[in-house]
Amino acid sequence: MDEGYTAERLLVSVARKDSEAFRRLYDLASPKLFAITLRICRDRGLAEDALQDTFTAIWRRASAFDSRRGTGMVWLAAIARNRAINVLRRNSKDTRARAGVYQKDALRLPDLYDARLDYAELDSFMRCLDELDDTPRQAVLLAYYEGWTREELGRRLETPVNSIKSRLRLGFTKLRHCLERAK
Amino acid sequence: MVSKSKHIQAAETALGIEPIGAETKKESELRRRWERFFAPLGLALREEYPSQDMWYRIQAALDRADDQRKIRQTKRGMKRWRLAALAAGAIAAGLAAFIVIKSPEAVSLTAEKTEHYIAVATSNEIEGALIVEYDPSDEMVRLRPVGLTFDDSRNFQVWHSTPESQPAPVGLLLPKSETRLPLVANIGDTIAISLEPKDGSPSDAPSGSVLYSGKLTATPE
Repeated sequence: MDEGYTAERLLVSVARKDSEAFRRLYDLASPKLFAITLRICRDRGLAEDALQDTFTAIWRRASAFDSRRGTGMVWLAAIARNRAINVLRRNSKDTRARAGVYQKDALRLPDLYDARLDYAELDSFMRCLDELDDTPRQAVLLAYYEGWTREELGRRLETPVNSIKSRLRLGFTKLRHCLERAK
Repeated sequence: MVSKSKHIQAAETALGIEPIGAETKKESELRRRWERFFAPLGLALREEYPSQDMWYRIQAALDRADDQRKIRQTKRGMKRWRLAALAAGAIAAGLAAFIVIKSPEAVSLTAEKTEHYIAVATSNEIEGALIVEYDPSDEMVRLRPVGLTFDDSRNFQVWHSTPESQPAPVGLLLPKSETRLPLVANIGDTIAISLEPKDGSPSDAPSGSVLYSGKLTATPE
């Protein structure tokens, strides 16, 4: 991959319906985006469905990308997460049981490694997350990595839904203050 | 100053706990801000590789969506044409104007440039359609069936005719997403599909019923 091709530059070309740029963007971003859809769907077939939805959405909506509001990869990751959650919820009845997401290791952090990643950003996020109480911290991780709804979080964490809701709200406020301080 | 409740709402939608509904511009910006907060978690994941045919699946999905759009566009065009024809018929009733709608119907798209030709062949009788794209620079026609059912005993055969000539065989439509066949054609020529025995028509003319036909017209690139 030519290092000169960044997600931001390629998205600008994709917005002009440049199919070669679209292919380059696929080569650049698909391993990371597939990691996200696979982590959420926990099934390669569903994760590939989500990845297909992600790239068709990127082709149609690339003109909505605004580099002033974040990097290209952040924008792409958000689309991939949303598509994976949609696919997961469409198929939730049978796949969750099959994938065994009720296992005790559901809360484990993923194997984090990426030579290109800004670890300072990840580090500050994790430090802020650690400042939260157990329930909201676990709820954030489960919602992000597993795509859980509030009701599912309540069942998984054996906590009433209203309590999950209020603890998450307190958690979000604390998280925001911490992240803004860390900037 | 953004309220605490707006931040919480944005965090919930960014995390996927709440669905993304109708949003104001400010709400959308706030959700994106939270997506940026959470993004390191996803971007730090170790890369995974999808199956090798993934890229082709994405291209096929985009082609299907594009085909559906062209069919919808064509059907809207047909509806408008019919309404316009009916209106014209009413005005000219005293002149006993007749409007004949042929079946199978020949339909076409509007044009702005003339590098490529296109036809969308449909029928009033049966479902499905055939997207026909012709590139005069390489003299190849690309045919993409939409909703056609192939079976082992018969085949779809492609025919080409000019306003002055009888249909001539072009080739058989393959049971896959796209068939490419060599052809020399012009705007106004007709591409038709007939149902034939497995090896094609035994003669140089359609032996089975013509299912779809459409006229080539210029299309914007």
